[in-house]
Amino acid sequence: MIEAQKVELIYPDGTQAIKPFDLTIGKGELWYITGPSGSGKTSFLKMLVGEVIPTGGILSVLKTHISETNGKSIRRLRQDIGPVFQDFRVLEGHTVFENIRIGMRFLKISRTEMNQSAMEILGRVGLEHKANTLVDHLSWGERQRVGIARASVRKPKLIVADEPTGNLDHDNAVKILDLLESFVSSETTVIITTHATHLIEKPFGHQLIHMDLGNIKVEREV
Amino acid sequence: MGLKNTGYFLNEIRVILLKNKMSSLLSFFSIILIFGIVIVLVTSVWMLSNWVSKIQDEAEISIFYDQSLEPVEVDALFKALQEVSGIESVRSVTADEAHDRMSNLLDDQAHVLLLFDETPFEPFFEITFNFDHRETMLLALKDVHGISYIRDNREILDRLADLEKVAEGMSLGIGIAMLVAMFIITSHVIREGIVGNYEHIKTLKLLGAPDWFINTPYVIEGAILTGISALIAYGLSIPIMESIHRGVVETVVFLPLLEMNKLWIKWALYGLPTAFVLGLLSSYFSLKTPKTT
Repeated sequence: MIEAQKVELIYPDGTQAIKPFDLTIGKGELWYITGPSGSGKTSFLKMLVGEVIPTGGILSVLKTHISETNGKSIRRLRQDIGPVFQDFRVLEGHTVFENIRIGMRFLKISRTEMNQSAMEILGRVGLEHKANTLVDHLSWGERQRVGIARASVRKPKLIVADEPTGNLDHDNAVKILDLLESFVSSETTVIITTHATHLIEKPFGHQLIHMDLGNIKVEREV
Repeated sequence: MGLKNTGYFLNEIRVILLKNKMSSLLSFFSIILIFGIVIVLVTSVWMLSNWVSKIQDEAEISIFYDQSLEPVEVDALFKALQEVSGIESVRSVTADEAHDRMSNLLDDQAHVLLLFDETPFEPFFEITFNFDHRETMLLALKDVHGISYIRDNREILDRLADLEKVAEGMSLGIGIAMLVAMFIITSHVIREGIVGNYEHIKTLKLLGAPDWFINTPYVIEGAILTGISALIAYGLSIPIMESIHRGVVETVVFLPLLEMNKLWIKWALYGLPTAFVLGLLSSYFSLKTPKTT
């Protein structure tokens, strides 16, 4: 699913955001990436979605070579990825239902199919009663649920969540991580970055990368 | 794929416009004003041009002839005038008819004509002509034997033609400047929407949305903005220009009423779609120039 060989990232100002690393991430896995702010977690995720291009090495995500690709194939790759953001990035002025459908509107699927998938996922994240509510009126926790529903409604092969609990209290953070973990399946891999290591002190079921000053270190492999 | 997204696009336009409420409103009024000025300007020039053309069509030339000509020679001159290219009709006006006309014109001052021992009026030929062939016709008249004097009101007609040209030139210049201003304002509104929606656009890009999907609301926004503005300006201009038209005709009695309805239909058929297309073009321009998308 993700293959990295000597991948590194140096920003134009000379900052080495990520030092050369090798990594293999397979199907149906759950990965946590921890590390302090500025350690390169977000840059790592940005490379996975083609938002930044590695300056060295070979990075393949869902069989797409990030370094050698064009705008069109990046777009196709992103349609197979579900991104979740720390600041939710819900579309204000639109309803919960619309926010979830947005990622499917430009895909070749019918309106019925689109609505059906949106309703299913709303049930799964526990927001079916708020389908017609404007996202502007939701709490932070609910907004993040909408973000997760939007990311997962297309049944993506990869879900990448960048500090999804960053703006949430402890209880909501735990619920959000549980929800994200529930999307791991034989077809879907979930990668979550967080600096809140206390939230992921579980003995099994996930793999862990620790990042510090651009160094990537696989701490635990299951 | 486009049809299922119509509701989303329209809602998105609403969100974009409401995000910069005051700016959108002011731009909207500016565009209405610009279209209003353009419509008033073009309609005024159209009215002027039509009136000038009608005055030119009704213009007559008086041809005076040598009074020593024998009646046979006068008849020959009459026939010769009918043959001149550009002349549409020739009519003989007697000295008595000329006297009566002047008497009518002078009205209560007509008694001054009684002071003359002999009639000061001479018989002449009155011709109507095709205004476009005026120059060649006047040239040809120089070669016609027996003509002593031609009163052609040339100066007045030339001035009217010049006035029409100046008005056309000015309205063309002002009209183009106004449309460029409209283009810039619409582009500015669209760009403002793009910048204000930067995070939204970025999110859509990360979800893999193609450019057409991201751009469509902005393109429709520009077309709607100019289309609705043009429609309102059109609606407001009709009563204004109709009352100006009636006022001018009532004040300058010899000006005929024009068929304004034809002009309004032309505006609706060509002006409004043009405004819509201009809106599309300015949106397209604003989407192509910044790197924010």
